[in-house]
Amino acid sequence: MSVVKFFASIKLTVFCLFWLTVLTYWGTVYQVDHGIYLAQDKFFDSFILMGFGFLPLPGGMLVMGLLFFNLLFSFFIHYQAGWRMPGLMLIHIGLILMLLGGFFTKVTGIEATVSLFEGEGRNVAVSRHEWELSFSDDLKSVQEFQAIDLSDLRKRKKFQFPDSELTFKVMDLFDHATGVPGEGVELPEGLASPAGFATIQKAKHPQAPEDYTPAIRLKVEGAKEINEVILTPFDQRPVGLELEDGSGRFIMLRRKRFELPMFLELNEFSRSYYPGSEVASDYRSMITVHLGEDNERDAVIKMNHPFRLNGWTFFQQSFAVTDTDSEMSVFAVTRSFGRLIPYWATGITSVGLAMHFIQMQMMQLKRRRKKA
Amino acid sequence: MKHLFLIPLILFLSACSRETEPTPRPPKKALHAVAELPVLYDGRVMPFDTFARLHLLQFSGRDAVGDVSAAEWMARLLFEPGTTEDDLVFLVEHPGVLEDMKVEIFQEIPGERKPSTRRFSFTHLEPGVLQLEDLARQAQALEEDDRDLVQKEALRVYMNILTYRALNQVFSYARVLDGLVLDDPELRAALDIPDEMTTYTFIDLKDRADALSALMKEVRSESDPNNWTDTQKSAFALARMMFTFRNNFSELPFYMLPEAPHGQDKWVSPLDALHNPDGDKNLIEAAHKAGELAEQWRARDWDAVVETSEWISDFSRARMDHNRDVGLTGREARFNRGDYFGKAKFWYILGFFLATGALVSGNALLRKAAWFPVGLALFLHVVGLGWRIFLTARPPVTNLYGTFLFVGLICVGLALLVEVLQKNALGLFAGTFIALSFLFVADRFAAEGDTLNKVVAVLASNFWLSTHVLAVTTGYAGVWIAGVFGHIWLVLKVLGKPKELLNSVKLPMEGLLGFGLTFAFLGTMLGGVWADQSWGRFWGWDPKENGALLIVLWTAVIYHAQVGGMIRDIGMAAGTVIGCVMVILAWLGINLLGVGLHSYGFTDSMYNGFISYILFETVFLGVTLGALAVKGEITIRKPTLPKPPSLPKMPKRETSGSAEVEEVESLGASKDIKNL
Repeated sequence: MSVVKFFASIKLTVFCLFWLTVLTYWGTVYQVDHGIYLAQDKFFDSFILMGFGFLPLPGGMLVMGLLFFNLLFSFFIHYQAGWRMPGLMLIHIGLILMLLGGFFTKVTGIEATVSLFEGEGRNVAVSRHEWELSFSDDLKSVQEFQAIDLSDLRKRKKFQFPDSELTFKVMDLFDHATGVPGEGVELPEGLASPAGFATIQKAKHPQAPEDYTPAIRLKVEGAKEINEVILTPFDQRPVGLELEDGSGRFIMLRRKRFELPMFLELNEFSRSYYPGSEVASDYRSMITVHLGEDNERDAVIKMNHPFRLNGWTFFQQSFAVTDTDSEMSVFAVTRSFGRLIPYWATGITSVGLAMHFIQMQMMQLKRRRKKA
Repeated sequence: MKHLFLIPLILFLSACSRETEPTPRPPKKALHAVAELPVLYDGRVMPFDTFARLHLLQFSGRDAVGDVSAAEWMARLLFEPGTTEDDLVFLVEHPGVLEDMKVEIFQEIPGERKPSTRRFSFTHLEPGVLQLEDLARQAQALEEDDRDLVQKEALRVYMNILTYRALNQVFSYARVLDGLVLDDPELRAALDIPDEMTTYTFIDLKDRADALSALMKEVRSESDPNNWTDTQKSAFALARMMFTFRNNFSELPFYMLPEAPHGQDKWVSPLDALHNPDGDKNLIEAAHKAGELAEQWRARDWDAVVETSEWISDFSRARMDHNRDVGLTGREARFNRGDYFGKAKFWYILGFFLATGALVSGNALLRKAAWFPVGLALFLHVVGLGWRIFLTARPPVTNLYGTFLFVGLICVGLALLVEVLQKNALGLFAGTFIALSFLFVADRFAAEGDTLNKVVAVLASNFWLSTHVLAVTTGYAGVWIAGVFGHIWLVLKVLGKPKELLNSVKLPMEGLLGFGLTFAFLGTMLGGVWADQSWGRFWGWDPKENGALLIVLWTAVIYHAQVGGMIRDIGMAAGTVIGCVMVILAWLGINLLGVGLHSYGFTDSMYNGFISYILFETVFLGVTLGALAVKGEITIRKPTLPKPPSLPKMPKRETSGSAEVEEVESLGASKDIKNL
């Protein structure tokens, strides 16, 4: 019962809200020097925050989790007779939904990009900050590969390349690293490192997650001549491993790929500016979406007008111009199963707030009239 | 003091100069016709009047030079540049710049009561321009963050001087070219120059360009200059002079003529129109008209100025009939002249004094009288915002300047609602105070640039601008005005005012905080929806999102702490004051961070005001809470177990109890203990 009391306590509500206020302020100021991603990671996505480098404090995830249970418990404990205060009920239902939806979309959401030159098409989106080890048995067979997420690997973890005798053991793994070049030209015997690094070491995180350069050192068993591999984003080519039976396998570290259920083709990209200024008035991409044979449709993606299909959403994110004046359009791609939960939560909570506010004011007016 | 003896002399000289050199001022009709000319600047077509105001604000931080309006001053700079060189239009905010320029910091200004030490004339600064150029080059070689204050200011002043110089050359093609002598009879005959014509403008020569080209063909056929005839040498010199002139004065920053009819929005300066690559005769005619306008202004032929200005405006409007802004330049100029917010300020000031008088004296007549100026001010405030909506075809809030106008208006509206309910001048007092504060702050932002500017692509959505932005700024208004009542409550409490008066402040304070919370939450979450629509994610912990969330969280903290019995009236009032700080953090402070997707509102000049405000609130809370602690009004106690918040089915009480007693009971806390 004391646990129920604790979770239903209004003191816990005040603590959570107050601490979330502090975290929000602190995390915002932290962004000036460290960027949004690191601030988010440290203050809002964490259970424990090491304040000033040594002081363990509750992180955003912990506080929001506590707030969620606090709302849930207090809803059932305090609002049993709450139909007289329907606004308050709606507010709390909405907030529970909001926190739940936030957690759900965070866990299930995909964030990636698709970059296309005019006339180019693609059915694969590339993650902004997730990486994977990809395997294939043929360099030309770009469509057929197997991959393992870098986030699923840990130091000393062993894994096997399917359909082969190759086994790997993670010796070093850093989410952001620099490579130490080999002395002279030659690398140690048995080491395959396309970028020429003899070893890898952890580096200070840059502000933007897309600037991270992870690296992995693997011990290899089952390959001829090669017993160690260093893979980094600086590799220009995959590492080829020859098996005992003479066949080959190729392994590479790359940004995580997501296969799209459609083929996206960029017909034209245009940008316009307000006359006589550098202020952009519009960016837009004219695309054709191929969903199968004889099933294609044209669409326009522009600022504030994304293209949605089968749970996937494509937004006009940015563009690039090459030295040869070719224009490349960059789309942000997201897939989220609970995308509409925050919408519902917003609606319910707002209606609840409005109802409660009006109810309180009506009561106030009644009291005034009574007094008068 | 040592300069005091100069004052009579200065006044005497000034009087003499006014007597001996009366400056004929343009009549309103002529000035208005010029002020309405469409000009392209900074991404939009605006009236000449706005163009002039923006430049003068950029140069001097003011939108007029004494009693000369920006439009008149700009017309003088363009059409008769020599007349503006002694005007004090260059604001130099850092004395280090003047020291480095080796220019006197102090200047004597005949006709001025007090010599200026911040604004200088072109004549005064000119001797130091080379040194200023060196300083500016050094500053430009550095990253913006690495520049010191002197370098930043030097660069700004230098750019202003460059713009000033460029603008005064725009109509040089229509002015007599000094020192040009064409006395070769054969050349004159070939160019069809009448005998009586002894001075020439560039237009005169451009009109004879075909004849000169024919002569130049002959010149080019003889490769050895020694074999050229005198006429050929004169023709060559003339052609070279014209080429140099064209090169030096092309692309000057005064884009007053649309290059192509119904085409892309490319506008050119009159000289470039004269030289348009397609040889568009209508455009050349318009360039001639622009030149005539300058000439007519100099000749003080005001009727002709009106006629020519209207001709040019009609030309631009007919050419760019697909561009809404071109057709609105007349209305925008009238809106500028209307100065609705300036007039609203005047009436708000009057209303503020009457409301203050009514509040202090309790005089009902004064309170009723205050409604007239406040109502008038509110009307002007609404009309001004209406004009902005009409001119931009956008909701009222598209930039920081707009937020102050809108939040000010909402605050006045809410305050007047309180006044209607309470009838004790408190609403009138608070409303006029807030409106005035925000209108004065808005003036500061108006000096930063175009207040009717085009919005960047990602913000160009009227739906989201009118839902998310209006909701969140309405939330700012609610929390802010609750905070103002919080200030008043704390001051009254420190002064030991009666409970009835305190209650009349507390009740609207709590209600308005609820209003603010509702809209701040709605606005914040609608921002999430917009972010999801535009960037594919509902919430990204962007600084501006966090700022709005701070308001919501803090307001929720106050309410829950009150319901939980952790704070009472003093804590609530102090909480609303901190709520004001949260609003300012969300509104301006976040922009100062310069990070995130919303860092568009970043301005250097905000910083000092922002810090000063935070300091003020810190001192205010320190002093008021300190005073209350000394009086024994603040004690720390264990929070009482909360009862449910006030319910409609309260036990019936006798109505003879005071309002405060009712409130205290309804909150479920004992009334004899006051704590923070």
